[in-house]
This record gives sequence, structure tokens and C-alpha cells, in this order.
Amino acid sequence: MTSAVIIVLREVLEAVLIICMLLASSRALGLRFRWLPPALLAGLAGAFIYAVFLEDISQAFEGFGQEIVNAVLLLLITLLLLAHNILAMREFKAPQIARLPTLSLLILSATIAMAIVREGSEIYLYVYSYGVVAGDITSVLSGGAIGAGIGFSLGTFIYFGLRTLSARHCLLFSCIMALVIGAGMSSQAALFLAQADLLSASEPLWDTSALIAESSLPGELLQAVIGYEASPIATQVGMFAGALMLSVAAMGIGIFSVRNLASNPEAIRTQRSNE
Amino acid sequence: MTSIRLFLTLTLIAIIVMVSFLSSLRGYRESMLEAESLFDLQLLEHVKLLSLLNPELSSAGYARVVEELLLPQQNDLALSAEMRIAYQVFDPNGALVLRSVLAPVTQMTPFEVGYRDVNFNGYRWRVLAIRDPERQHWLMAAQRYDLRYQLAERVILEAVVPTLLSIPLAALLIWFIVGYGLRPIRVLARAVHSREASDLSGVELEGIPKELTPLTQSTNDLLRRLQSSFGREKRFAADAAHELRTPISTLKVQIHNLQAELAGNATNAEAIATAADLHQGIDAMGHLVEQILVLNRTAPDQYMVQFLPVDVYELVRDVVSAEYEQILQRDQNFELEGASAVVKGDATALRSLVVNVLTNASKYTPQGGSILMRVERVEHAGNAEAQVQLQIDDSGPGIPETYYERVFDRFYRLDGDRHSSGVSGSGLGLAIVKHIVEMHGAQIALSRSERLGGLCITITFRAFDVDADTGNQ
Repeated sequence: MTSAVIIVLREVLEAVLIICMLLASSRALGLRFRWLPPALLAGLAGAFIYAVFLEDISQAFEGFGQEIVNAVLLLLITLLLLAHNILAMREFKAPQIARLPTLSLLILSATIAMAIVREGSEIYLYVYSYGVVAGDITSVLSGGAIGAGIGFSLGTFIYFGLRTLSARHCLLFSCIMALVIGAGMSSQAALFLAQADLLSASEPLWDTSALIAESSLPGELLQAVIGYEASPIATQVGMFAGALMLSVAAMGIGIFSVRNLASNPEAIRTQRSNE
Repeated sequence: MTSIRLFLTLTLIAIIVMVSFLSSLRGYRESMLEAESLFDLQLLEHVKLLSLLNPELSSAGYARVVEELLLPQQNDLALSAEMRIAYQVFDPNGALVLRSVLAPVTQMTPFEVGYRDVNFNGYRWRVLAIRDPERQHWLMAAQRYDLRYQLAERVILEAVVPTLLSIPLAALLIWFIVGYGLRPIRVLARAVHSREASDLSGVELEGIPKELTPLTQSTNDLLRRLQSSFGREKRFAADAAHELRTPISTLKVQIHNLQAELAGNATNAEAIATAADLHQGIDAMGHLVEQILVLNRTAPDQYMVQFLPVDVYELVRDVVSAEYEQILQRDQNFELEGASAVVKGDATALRSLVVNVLTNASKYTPQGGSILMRVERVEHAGNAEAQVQLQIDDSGPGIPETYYERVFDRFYRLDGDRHSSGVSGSGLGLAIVKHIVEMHGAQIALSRSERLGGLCITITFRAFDVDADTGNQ
């Protein structure tokens, strides 16, 4: 049961972190939550389809289909988080002036749907293979429920915690979360691509498994949050650092794109009259 | 925060889930460790029993193989069949003398006293090896790890699962309890929201929780201040109008005298015309002041009278005979249709209403135009209450539909101060009518007159049943 708790908690936490952070951002961006149910449904449907066709997917690309699809999903989520950072920083710099509601809705919905596809399919597969096939259903379901419960509770605290901040601080904090989560995801993507022989797999740069083992609870939680890897290869470290830098750059672009609006009342008026 | 209820429910559930799940998890892990030591103890007891056997009975060189004892009804303890213990007994020379069916022919673990984890028969086993101090035999007993784990987990999950299943119930209870706890806020909000605009009395609710007391107190303070300032405003208008009556009457007398004086002197035609204009102006001012007084007297929040049965048809006839001079002056056709229809109301106010709609129609209908008034009692099928309709049609220019709401505002006149008909007025007539209509709980509707082409005002009252009322008394 413990392993079910840890695995489900890790997957739920990854998804919940993204969802709660984006929900808080969405509030700060002045959007209502009407987009959430369709995004959740799309994500769940996607996760189900992915899990059902997993066998066909794994056999594609010379047997590396699953690794490649996972890597693509992770990289797409990273890109969407970058886009989120641009939007959030525009709002941060020029509150209520430079909003792009439709684009924001699309980006938020797509990010959440994809995060659910990725984590939902993992959970489905775990429960299916260990619970249904291996016949350990009570233990897997109980463990899964405990993991999911703890994950959702953490999500609730994170969401309401972010909501206690002012809109601008909430956006800034969301951006920092997106930055770290995105970097972790791109480092995981690098590992998948290395496993599919699409990126070079070097010797691990270091090994911290003695300090925090990957399979331990802190290790799994750290993996959910920052994509912790005890013995990362060079590509992973490179992708992690690259994604971090890109995220910071995206935030800069967000601020730069509205620098005139924030200080120029005339531009604000034009912008408003265009809306 | 959008909803206190949602916030409290979600965070409370999250806290309960967090605390109870984490403690279940901890309980699970501790219980699993405890179960491990229980199983180890079971192995020890088994080895102790082995030491009581006398394996020398078997012929040397051949190990005796012991069949398993199984419960005849395996359903009673399904796992008992799986939880069999494999055991071996070796003589002091290390030769196998006794083993259970499950045990391998080779020794399960080295000849070292203690617990050890080993693999054989395709499974991982927990083995205990002990040396019999009397006969120096090696006694070994083993259990499959996976079965130990499964049995322990099955027992412990029995304790964990109810915790999980109770969470939805807790969530439901929290949702209702939080809703119940927040009810005073809803009651207070409803009490403030549902009151009439004119009702400025304090909010009085029973059993207000102490968290809401400051809010109700400050709301009531605010209402009190608002009420006194409204009162001042109303008294001022009424007092001012009342005070103006006397000087206006004096003016009227003086202009009358002046006109009489000028009439004797026919040479001053210009002065006569000016005096006539002046007379008209003073009359208009007097009318305005009277209207302001009526408006204040009939304001729904001011009015405190007992309603009595009034026959609207008779009232209209009465008013028409009083105002007929104005209609005659303008050479207008007037027609009254209908029959006796009784409503419950205030005769003075209803008279003001009829006067105002009639003079309004007469004023805006051109010379030689037509005015039609109709009073009728409308019976409805079924249990719906009967109604009395007062309708006045004119052949004037009417009012564009977009202004239907605005014309009831005080001092609002279509096209500013001077109507396109060239008629002056106070702009209070329809406001007074609306006040009186509201006071009687009636409805007023404006439309285009189908019969005369001008404005059609329809006022619908609740009918009063004379027979039913006397019957009740």
C-alpha cells in the first residue's frame, strides 16, 4: 500500500501543483472558472485514451513510442508554462490593462488538460497493472485514495495560500512555481529522450541517492515538485538550466511587452478603447 | 474569497483528509512492522514445537517427509492453506532427518542461529534456524514473505478502509454544518435585502450571533441617520410648499384687485394684458405648490389611512363634473363608459389620481380633440381575483415608448420645460398618479391608444367585493 500511496501522491501532486497554481493565476488575471470543467474533462478523456492505446503507442517509433510521447507532453507543458509566465508578467507590470482573455483561457485550459493526460494516464496504468491485473485491488485503491487525498489537500492549501496574496504577488509566485515545475518537467523529458536514444546519455554527473533516495517519500515528492533525480545525466542538467533561463526570459518578455502601457496613460486609453 | 462556505468546507475537508490519511499511513506502517514481529514469533513457536519431536524414529539416511495438516473447511481460514510453514530438522552431523512437504531437500539456510531472508522454490522466505541445546539438532522453519505481507495487509486495511470511506460522509456533514453556521448571515442579508425602499426601521432579528451584532448595530445606526435625514428633506418640501400658500393667496387677491382697477381704465391695454399674464403665472405657481403638497401627502411611505370602499365610476363622474369647464374651454369631446366598480382605497387620494389623469389628458389633447374614460370590473376565470380597470384614452400626440418609464419621475417633462404641445405644467402630475397607484397596490401601464391614437393610461386595481365584505361582517 505504501508504494501505491507514494506513486499516486507523486502523480497527483504534479498535476495538482500545476492546476492550483493556474487557478490562482486565472483569478489574478480576472478570469472566471468556467473554462475549468471542459479542461478537466478533456484531460481525463485524453488520459483514458492514452492509457488504452498505450500498447500501440509504445510499439511505435521502434519501441520508444511511450518515451517519445511522454517527452513531447512534458515539453509542451513546459512551453505552455512559459507562455503563462509571459501573460502573468504582463498583468504583473500593467494590471488590468494588457489582458488577453481568450489567449489566456486557451493557454490555461491546454496546460491543465495536458498535465492531466500525463499524470492521469500514469495513475490509470499503475492502478490497472498493480491493482486489477496483479489482483491487489484493495491495497492499491486504498493506497491510491490516501495518496490522492493528501495530494488534493495539499493542492487546496496551495490554492488558498496563493489566494491570500495580492493579485500581483500571486502572479509573481505562480510564475516562480511555473518556472521550477517547468524546469523539472523538461529535465524529465530529457531523460525520456535519452532513453529513446534521441539525446546522448552520458554518465551521471553526480549521485545524491545516499542523501535523498529517489524511491523514498522525500525523493518522490521532490521529483513531483522540481523533477528531482539522484543521479542526473548532463543532458538533464542542461535542460533543467535551459528551461529555467527560458522561463526567466519569458517573464522578461512579458514585462517588456507592456512597458509602454504601464507608464503611458495615453496608450492605456487607446488599448482600452480597442477592447 | 468568493464563498465563505466553499472556503471553509474545502479547507476543513483538506485538513481532515491530511491528518487522518497521514495518521492512517503511519498506523499502517507501524502495524506492518508489528505484524512482522508477530510472524517471527510464530516461526519461533513453530521451531520450539519441532524441538519436541523425536526425529530419531526415522531410519538413518532417509529424511522423513511430513504431510501437511489442513483444515477440512478451508473457507474458514482461506489463507491457512497458504500460510503453511516449511520446516527442516538436521541431526548434529548436518544430515536432514525431517522436513515438511514444502521444504526443499537442501538446507534452507546456513547452520547459523537467527532469522534470515532467503530465496528458494521461486519465492522469498523468512527463515529461523535454531540449534536444539539438548540433542544438538538444527531446527529450521520458514514462511513465504509475500504471504506474510498479504495477510498482514489484509488485516490492517480493514482498519484503514473505513477511514477512507468516511471522508465523503464527513465532507457532506461539513458542507451542511458550515451552511447551517452561516445561516444567520443569509438571514440578515435577506432581511436587509427584502425590505421596501421606504422601510428604514432598524433590523430586528432574534438570536443574532455575537459576531454579527456589530454589523447589525452599525446597519441600524446608518438606517436611523438615513431616516432622520429623509424626514428632514420631506418636511422641508412640505413645509416650504405650505408656507408658500399664504403669500400666493395674497398675490391672487392683489392681482384680482389690480385687474379690477385696470378694467375701469380702458386706455391702458398693454397693462391689462400684462396683468392677465401675471394672473396666469400666479395660478401656475399656486397649482405647482398644491401639487407638491399632494405629492408629499400621497408618498407611499408617508401615507397612513384606513382604506374604505370607493366606487371609481362615481368618483370619475364627480371629478368630470368639477373639471368639465377646462374640457369645454378647449372644445374637447369627452365620453365616459362603464359601470359602477368598487375598490378599497382612500377617496381623497383617488380623487387626486383621477383629477391628474384627466387634466393631463385634457392638457395634451389639442383643441377639438377627444378624451375617452372607461371604468370596468374585469372578472377572471378560475380563482383569480376580479379587477377594476380605469382607462383613459386621448387623441393627443402620445408619448414615445422609450419615455414610458421616465415620465413618472418628479419634475420630468417630455422635451424639457415646455412640451411640444405648448402647454406648461408642473411635471408632477404623473409622479403623483404613480404614488397613489403604488399606495393602493395597483398597476399602471402606458400604451398607444388604439381607439383615439394618443396616449392610453390603464390603471388596474384589485376589485372590492361589497357583498362578500358585508357577508363577512
